[in-house]
Amino acid sequence: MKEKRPIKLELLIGTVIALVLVAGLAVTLAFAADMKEKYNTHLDNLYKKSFIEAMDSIDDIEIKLSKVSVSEGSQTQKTLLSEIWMNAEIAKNNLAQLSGKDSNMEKIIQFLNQMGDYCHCLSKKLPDDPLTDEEKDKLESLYKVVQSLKASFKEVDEGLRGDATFVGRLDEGIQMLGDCYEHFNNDSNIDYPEMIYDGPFSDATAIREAKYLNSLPKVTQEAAEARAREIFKDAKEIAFVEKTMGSIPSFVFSVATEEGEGLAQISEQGGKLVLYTSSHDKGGAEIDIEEATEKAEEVLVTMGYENLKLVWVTPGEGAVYLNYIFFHDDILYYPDFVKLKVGDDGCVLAFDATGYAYNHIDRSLDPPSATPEQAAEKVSKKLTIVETRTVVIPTKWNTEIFAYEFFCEREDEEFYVYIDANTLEEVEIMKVVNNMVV
Amino acid sequence: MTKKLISGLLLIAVLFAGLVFFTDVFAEQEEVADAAVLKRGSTGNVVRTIQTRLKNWGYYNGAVDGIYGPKTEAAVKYFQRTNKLVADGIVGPKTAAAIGVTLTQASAGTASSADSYLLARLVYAEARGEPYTGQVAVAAVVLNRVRSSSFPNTIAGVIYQPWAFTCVNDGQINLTPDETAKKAANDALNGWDPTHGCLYYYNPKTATNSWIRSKEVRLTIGLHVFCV
Repeated sequence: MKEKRPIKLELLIGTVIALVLVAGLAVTLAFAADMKEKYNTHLDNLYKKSFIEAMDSIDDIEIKLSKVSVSEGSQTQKTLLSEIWMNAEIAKNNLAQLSGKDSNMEKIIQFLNQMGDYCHCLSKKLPDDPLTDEEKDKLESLYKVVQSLKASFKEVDEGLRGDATFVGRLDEGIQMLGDCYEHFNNDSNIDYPEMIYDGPFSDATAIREAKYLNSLPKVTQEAAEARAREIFKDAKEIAFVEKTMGSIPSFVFSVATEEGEGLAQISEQGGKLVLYTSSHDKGGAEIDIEEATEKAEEVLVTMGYENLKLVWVTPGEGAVYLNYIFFHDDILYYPDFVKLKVGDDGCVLAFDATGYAYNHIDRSLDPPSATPEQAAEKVSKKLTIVETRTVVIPTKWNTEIFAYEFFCEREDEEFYVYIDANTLEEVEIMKVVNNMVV
Repeated sequence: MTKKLISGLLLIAVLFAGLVFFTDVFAEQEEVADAAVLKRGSTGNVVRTIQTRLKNWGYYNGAVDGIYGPKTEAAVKYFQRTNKLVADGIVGPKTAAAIGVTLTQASAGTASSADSYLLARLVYAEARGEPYTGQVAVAAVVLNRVRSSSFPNTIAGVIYQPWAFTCVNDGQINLTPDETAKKAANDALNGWDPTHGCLYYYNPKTATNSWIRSKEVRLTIGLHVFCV
């Protein structure tokens, strides 16, 4: 008899373990496949929900725009227009979730944003200030665009009523919608009205002119480089990188200092340092605000920015952000801002004068028709006024309002309330949250 | 030899089991803010509240600017003397209690909201290794999109718009951002925009999309070109 049993036993154990592993792997794979199926279904459901909500909202918008066009009552118009704004928000948020790989949906989102924003702006002026003929015409053309949008979505909807899914064939699924986006981008029959109005998404906001810089003479690249060397006296190396285009054409220089690397943009018009950012790895030390302020103000003078007042300080990591505003004849001009970031070792780490570059001009404002006392009457009685200032504030559509600013408090809360210095209208309320003004 | 085979298989089985059961169990720890004192050189919301209170009560006549300067220090000393506290000009727990402010949420001031962390994640995933200004610029593009009519109007809406950023598709967005990315995100949130309003960027060496290449290029930082 040959002793073969132990080997057989070992073989047997080996086979059993191998079988268990294979079975385990099979179960795991089946489990993974099942999970994948579940994830797919779940994702597809989310996509479908987004699509249906977007479609429903667009249907609602179409109906409401048609109601607006036949409505004569200002109050009805106001209600309808603010509902359209809400529907447009829902449609836009849901559609944004349905972007495809190669689908260009910017136009469609822009349309929904602008339409909603426009309706919102009109609703705000109603019922006191009725719709003009021009505004009614614009609403009519928006109605036509929405009709066209609705029609192309309907085709996708019909496709989805079969067994089509968005996720199962991801690219294809989104492609169905992609065709809608393409149609919307390229169809010459769609007549988009020009969207210039007083709102944050107005076409007018895309056109920005650097008013301050454009009043100054052009400089050459050599002059700009000389300016950079004046400003960054301690730099180890300053090298020209490129010339940028856009609303502030600039010469870009890389600046190497002891502390780190930075990039400085010197404007072609006026040779001003408009923007500077740099890396800086020190940190942890406590920042002395007075020292930082002194340093910042010294730098501002070197750069030729004058009559600036420090209005806001935000501590950051290892650095502090200082916000300066142009101050003249006891009026603070918020649009004309210059910001500095000063590190805990007193180095200026970043500089931003874009607000000043875009907005600073000699405004020669007429004296306001209302007094601060009259304006204070308009501030909520729930608030205690701590400080009053005369200011010019920017709107989101790049215009300005001459106002009185009231810094107020209510228990632990702090607010800035702005009252129009001519119309006595309450134009803005800002709240201090985590040391930011929102 | 067979034993080796068996133990090898067992090891694989254990590792396999470990792989199945122990992935993704690490959760991030929350940072705990330190309690602090406020003194000369401090800034922020709480300093502003202290100034407001002291001004209302007649101890302080300077500006309510959130900066703990010499005037604020003098006012705090005056308040402490009047209220029989140690007149050291430093707002510690006792003085804070007397003024009625809480110091636990003192002026640490770093924006630690979900938005700024998400933005830092995007910067890290998309632009780590780029020059600092290039990282600020990537964050600024996100914020420019938030303000633009052609994109969703929230930070999360822009970042999670499908196919908008490759790092969101491949999951790199979930990497933990480093300090530089956080600083760059904060600079952008504080208003820095090296691109002056650009809405797109790409790496000209790797971008294959002809549509993006048709955009007007405004500037180049590191490996990225920025365009509108």
